[in-house]
Formats: sequence, C-alpha cells, structure tokens
Amino acid sequence: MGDKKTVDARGMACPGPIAKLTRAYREAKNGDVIEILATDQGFIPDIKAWIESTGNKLIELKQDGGVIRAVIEVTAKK
Amino acid sequence: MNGEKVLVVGGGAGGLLVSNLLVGDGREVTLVTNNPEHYFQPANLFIAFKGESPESYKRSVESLLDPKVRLILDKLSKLDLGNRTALTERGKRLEYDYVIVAAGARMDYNSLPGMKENFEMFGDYYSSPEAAVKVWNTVSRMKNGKLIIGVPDLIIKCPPAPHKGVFLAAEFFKKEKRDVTVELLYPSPHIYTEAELAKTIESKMKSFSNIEYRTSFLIDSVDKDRKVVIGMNGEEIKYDALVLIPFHKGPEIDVNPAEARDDDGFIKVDKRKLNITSYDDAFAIGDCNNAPTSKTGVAAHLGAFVVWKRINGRNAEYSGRTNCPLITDDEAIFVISDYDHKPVGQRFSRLKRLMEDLFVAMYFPSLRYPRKFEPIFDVYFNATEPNILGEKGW
Amino acid sequence: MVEEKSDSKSTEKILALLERPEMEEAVANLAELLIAMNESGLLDLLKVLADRGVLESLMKYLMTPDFLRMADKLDKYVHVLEESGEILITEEKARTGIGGLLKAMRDPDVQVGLTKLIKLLKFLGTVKEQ
Ligand SMILES: Cc1cc2nc3c(=O)[nH]c(=O)nc-3n(C[C@H](O)[C@H](O)[C@H](O)COP(=O)(O)OP(=O)(O)OC[C@H]3O[C@@H](n4cnc5c(N)ncnc54)[C@H](O)[C@@H]3O)c2cc1C
Repeated sequence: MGDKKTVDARGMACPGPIAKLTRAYREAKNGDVIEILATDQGFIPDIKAWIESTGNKLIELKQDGGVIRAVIEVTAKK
Repeated sequence: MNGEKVLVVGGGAGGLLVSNLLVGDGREVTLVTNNPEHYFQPANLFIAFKGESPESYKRSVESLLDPKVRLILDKLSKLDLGNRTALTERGKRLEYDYVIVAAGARMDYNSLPGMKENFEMFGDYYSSPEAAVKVWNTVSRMKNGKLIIGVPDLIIKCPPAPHKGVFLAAEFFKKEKRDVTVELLYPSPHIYTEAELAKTIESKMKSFSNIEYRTSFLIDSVDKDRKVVIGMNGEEIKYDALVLIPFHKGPEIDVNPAEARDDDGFIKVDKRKLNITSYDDAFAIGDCNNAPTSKTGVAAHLGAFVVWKRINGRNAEYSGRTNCPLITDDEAIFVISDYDHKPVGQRFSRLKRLMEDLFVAMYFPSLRYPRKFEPIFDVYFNATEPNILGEKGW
Repeated sequence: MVEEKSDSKSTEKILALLERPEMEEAVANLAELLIAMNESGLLDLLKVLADRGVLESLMKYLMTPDFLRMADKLDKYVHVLEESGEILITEEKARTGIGGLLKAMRDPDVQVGLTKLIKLLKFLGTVKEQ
C-alpha cells in the first residue's frame, strides 16, 4: 500500500488545481493515492484530460455541494 | 499614535508601495531589504531574448522610497510574531507595532535532479537580470537546433511568462532566419492552466513554424551529458539549450511560530484580508504569501493597498485579482482572473500590447508616488474586473 | 553595521552629469524647447494633464468594458470601414433587379452578408433611446 496525500485547491482559479496536483505528483511514488479538493469547475474536464494523457488511474471523481473531489492512484511513474 | 512603528520586509514592488503609503500617514516606517537595487522583473524577458541591457530596468531602492522611510540594507533573519520583534543578519534587533512581510519568492533549484547544473550553464529569466543575460548569451549564439523552455512546476510568478519566453525567442530566431526550434514543455493537459485561454494561446503558437509544445509533460530530471530532459514516465527529449523555470518557495526568514508558514515556506494569510493567520498586526503581501492566486506584481500592488487601508481602519479586501500579460513582439493578452472567476476570454491585440508598454513606463513612478497613481489604476482594475468583462471577455 | 540612507549619492550623480561636455548643448536645447512649449501653450496643457484630476476623468471616460473591447478591435473595424467605404463612394454602373437579386442570393458570401444584416437589424430593433 502506498501513501495517501490530500491536496486542497479550493478557491483556486488561476493557476488552477492542476498546479497543486503537479507539485504533489512530483513527490509521490507509484501506488500512492492523491486526493484533490477543488471548486474550479474547469477541474473536471482537466483532471480527466490529465489522467488520459499521463496514464495514471482515476479512482473517484465526485461533486458535492460545489466541491469537486478527485482521487487518483499514481501508476505511471518510472 | 498607536500602531506608529511599522516594519516592512523586502524592497520589491509590494514592500516599496506599502512603505511609501504608510509613511505618508505620518507613521514611522522601517524597511529592511537585502538588495540595494530593485529591478523590474518582467524585463528579464527583454534581456534574455532581445539582448536589452539590465541597467535600464534597475533603480536603487533608495531612489524609489519616500526619504522619510528608514532604510536598512540587511537581511531579515528572524521574525517573532508573538513578541513583535525581528532580528537582522547583522544583529540588529527591531520592534514593531505592525509588520508587513513582502520578501517575495525564493528560487529553488534543488527540487529536480540536474536543475542546478543546468541553471549554472544556461541561466534563466526568473532568477535575476544577470541570469537573463546568460540566456541571451546562449540564444544570441544559437545557429540551429532546439531551445527548450521547461516548466516543471506551476506555482510560479506570472504563469504566462514561460509562454512569453517561447514567443519572444521564436520571434528572434525567425527574424534572424536561424534554424532553431523553440519547444515548451508544460505540465498541465492544456498549454495553459485554463482551457479556454489555452486555445487562444495554442492557435497563436501554431501560427509560428518554429514553435513546438508538449502538454502533460512532467519533468523528472535533466541529464546534461546526454542533453536530454527526462519525463516522469521515462520519456526523453533532446535539447541543444535548456531554460528551466525554477521552483518557487517561501522566503528565507525564520518565522516564529513555524506554523505561520506552509510546507513550501510561503506565509499563511487570510486570502482576502492578507493578515498572517491568527495575527492582526502582521501581514504578508505579494509572492511570499500562500494566497491561492498567481504570483504577480499586480497581487503585490493590490495587496499593498489593502494592507495600507486595513491598518488605517478601512475595510479593504483583496479579491485575488490577477492581470498577467502574455506578450508576443507586437500583440498581447491579459490573464485576468480572481478567486471566484477563472481567467476571462481574450484575443491577442495590439491595443493590449500598447497598454502593457504604458504599464511598463509607469512602473517606477507608480511605486514612488502610489497615491498619485491609485485613481488611475483603480479605474482600469474596475473596468476590467472578471465579472464585469464576463462571458464576452475582452 | 547598518547603512542609513543619505542624499549624497543622487547629488553626486547630478554633479557628474553636469560636468559632461554634452551638457552645455543639451541644456541650451532644453531651454529653447521650454520657451517654445511655453509660447505655444503646450506647457500649460501638460500642466493640466499632469494634474491627476484630468487624467482620472479621461481614464474614466475611456476605461469602460465596451470602449476597451471596441478599441481592442479598432484595427479590424478600420479595415471593414475602409473596404465598405470604398464601395459606398464609388459610382456604381451595374444595376440589379429582382432576377439579379435571386441570382445573387445563390452566392454564399451574399448569404453570409444577409445573415449579418438580419442580425444587425435585430440588434437595432432592441436599442432604446436613453
Ligand atoms: C519573467 C517574469 C515576468 C513577470 N511578468 C509579470 C508581469 O508582466 N506582470 C506582473 O504583474 N508580474 C509579473 N511578474 C511577477 C512580479 O515580478 C512579481 O510577482 C513581483 O515582483 C512580486 O513582488 P514582491 O514585492 O512580492 O516580491 P519581489 O519584487 O520579489 O521583492 C522581494 C524583495 O524582498 C527582498 N528579500 C527577500 N528575502 C529577504 C529577507 N530575508 N530580508 C530582507 N529582504 C528580503 C528581496 O531582495 C526583494 O527585494 C513577472 C516575474 C517574472 C520573473
């Protein structure tokens, strides 16, 4: 089992939540889980595109009362 | 007068503005800064890609300060928020009623293997005018091959500045008819962190035959012997010259309590009131705080005004407003956003480039005489608020 | 050690500048320019402009979202105006009747133009006098 880290990017419009994810991803290793909280609506398509192009795994993507919660598993690091 | 003694840390845009504003109220203002010169950071681009001289974009801190401000050229090493005291590197102890930290971001080259060596070799246009001269020394001599501008991290000053570098470099090589390709390596899935603006920028990039770009490219390390950038997925890209945007961290000040700073050393503030979390006599403005917005001169500028007003008992708040220009040789767009609004749609235009030139011309006088310039900037900021420009954009 | 600020540095700089040989000519030129500007009233105008009240009013007039957007595209408008202006002021020999109109309607450019005209009419209809 890897580590779990939460990244809070709520209220972050520019640069968007991907900026915070990028920082957390650098420190993560394969098997780690990163949870990202965001309020920027652009984050939903962005995280999908990010997952598709980087080849990591999206475990969960939910929106609850304006807060988007994405959980990803790091799988694409060398 | 209560709250008379003000300590300001850092003689950049934010620190100069807030010092000049507060001393005008009759307060006793002391500015501690470790660099006797202030330089206009966006001009690093003109130094790096147009070969301009750094001298025209530098002023002494002294010449930008109201003479009533007491200037101490020293590094602030310790700040004790509970006891309202501070200590400089050379051992001077200072007391305050209010402290405003405006010490900017610290450039870090150690978070990525090979970055430090690469910085020593090629310089960059983020660290200093001198480092930008190094970039020019490489760029001006390149005859062919590939110049890569790599963005390992997105918590950086002026988020469109990497793109500005790409455009200005490409324009230089095009004019000089040199067979050099400029490639941008960018970590987010679009070529800018916001998808709509990314489209605008992407189509501008496509109109250049010598610009290439890669999105979702997460830089892992640099191998300077083989001249390759290595991605986190193992992919390798060859370069002839490489400019990496350094990581940004909080300033080098030992702050007590340590919880006042986040994991990266940025000072934790209330994002609208800009006071350091749980203190009402301590503030942090500009690049050194952790407000969830871009690190830009505009944030430092607006932050200085918010703090000035709040110290004077007025109820000002910072909206997270950004206004980062993305320029090419003769056109520009502005990345205009705030905490509640993503960047508004923009088109490249010559008017915006002209406006940017005017901002540059007003830069130094606006730091020295903030009260004179306030109404002028206010009119601009109000007319271009993200919710006013709205869907239609600009 | 603490360095306190002093004015001596800028005074030194000014003195060094004054000693430069080019200075004599530059000062004479500047004086002439000042006299000319004063006589023509330009100096008075600048004085008024430098007063922030005027600049502020000017900015308030110019800095509205509508104005900014329009100014942003002024170069494009000028192009359209120039091209259509040319058509408007040139004497037209050709005549178009109903038949010609029907034929013209098959031209895709005319179709787009017509659509734009209809949009314009629709917008004009909503404009109320204030
Ligand atoms: C290439 C580039 C392009 C940019 N373009 C734009 C743009 O177009 N528009 C825009 O708005 N912004 C732009 N920026 C960002 C802008 O320059 C910064 O956001 C702005 O300068 C921040 O101001 P500041 O006062 O917070 O920090 P700074 O201006 O960095 O000032 C910090 C000061 O604190 C001093 N200091 C640091 N630590 C200590 C210490 N311990 N003790 C004493 N003094 C200390 C430093 O010497 C420095 O003088 C750009 C930046 C770069 C690099």
